Amino acid sequence: MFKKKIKAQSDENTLINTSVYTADYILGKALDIGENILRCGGESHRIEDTIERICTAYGAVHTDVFALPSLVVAGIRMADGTTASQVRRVYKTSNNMYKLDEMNSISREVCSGAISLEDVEDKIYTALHTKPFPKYLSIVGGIIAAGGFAVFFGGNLWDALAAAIAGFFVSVMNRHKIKLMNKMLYTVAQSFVGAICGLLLVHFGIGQNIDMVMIGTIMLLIPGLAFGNAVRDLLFGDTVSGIIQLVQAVLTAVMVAFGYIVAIMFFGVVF
Amino acid sequence: MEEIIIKIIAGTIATLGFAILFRLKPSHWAFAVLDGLLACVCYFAFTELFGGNFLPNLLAAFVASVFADFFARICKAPSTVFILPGCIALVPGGTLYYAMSNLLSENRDIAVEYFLTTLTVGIGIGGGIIAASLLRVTIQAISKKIKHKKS
Repeated sequence: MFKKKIKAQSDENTLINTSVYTADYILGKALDIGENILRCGGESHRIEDTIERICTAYGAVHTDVFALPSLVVAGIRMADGTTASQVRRVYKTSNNMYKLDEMNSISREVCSGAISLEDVEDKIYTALHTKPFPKYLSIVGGIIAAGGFAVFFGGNLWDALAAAIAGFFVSVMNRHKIKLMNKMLYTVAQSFVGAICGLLLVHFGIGQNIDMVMIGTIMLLIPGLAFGNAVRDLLFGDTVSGIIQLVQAVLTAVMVAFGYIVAIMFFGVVF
Repeated sequence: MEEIIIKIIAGTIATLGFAILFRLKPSHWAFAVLDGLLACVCYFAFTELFGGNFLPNLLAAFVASVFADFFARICKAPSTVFILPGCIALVPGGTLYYAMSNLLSENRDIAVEYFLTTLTVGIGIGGGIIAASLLRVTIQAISKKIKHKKS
């Protein structure tokens, strides 16, 4: 019975013993997780929800979070009146569902008290540095996706082959990004390479319908579901984040179109 | 009919490709592919039934998101993990390409039409996803109330 009592006390202490942590420390750890969720392509309301939950679990009486696709702002007030506010700027986001999943489970464990705030950094480090599968498999994914979509939009098997070859080059470019290059310009370069590949392959007889080959590679480049996500954010009430995503999606689509147009013009001059 | 079946298979394979591109855990691939298959089947079925662009995409995205929520519950993962690859086959890449190529050959009216179709499909997909998440929120709220009353 005595043992039980001690266990109950220690349970209470691990979760809500706020005197151990300062407000800044709690908010910093919560933002570490939130920032990484944003980097992996999480939605704004998921980030806001996560940070609010963690801070509340560690004794914040008032939490304000605002997340944009490139910025997270948060402020908390503890029960003893101390406050903290921090800002995180995020430059690069990509869709990485493995990391998103890991971050989500870390935040759930933190909220339930299964892992302490000190361990959060290690957990995040291991989540960021383990890979669910070898690198070359993502190139295989690009090939399968491009080929599949060429058939899905009405092409035959030869078109699928041509789209798969073009998809290979596009996903290799995705894999080995040039770091200094602007993201939008890189999209132009990618779509240029994809279109030139498609045009050359159709010119030399692999693939018969240029439309289907192009659409197969376009599917790799257009911002996935960014447009659908933007509409969802807008309807969900995250107006600012929705508008930013919408503009980004439209701009990326325009850049893809630009790369294709340049490629077609270039090809028309050479051949 | 045969053509549609081939298209559904191709769409499902493409979904697998995107599941890898989005870096899903290998243990989640099967569910993502199943979700993509559902989205494709729903899309073609509703296109036969209703025609047009908006309604089939809205309903297919809705069904795919509802099942994505369900799979997420099974795997204890966020629902985005399954919504993203599940709805990818609905993304209007084809109409976007035709809009561009028509713009290039100066068929402006056709280009604008294709562009508006792209927009309609995008709004349809977004609407479907939001409808599914509204459904989830409602179910959660109701079940919470029932639990509260019981206790």
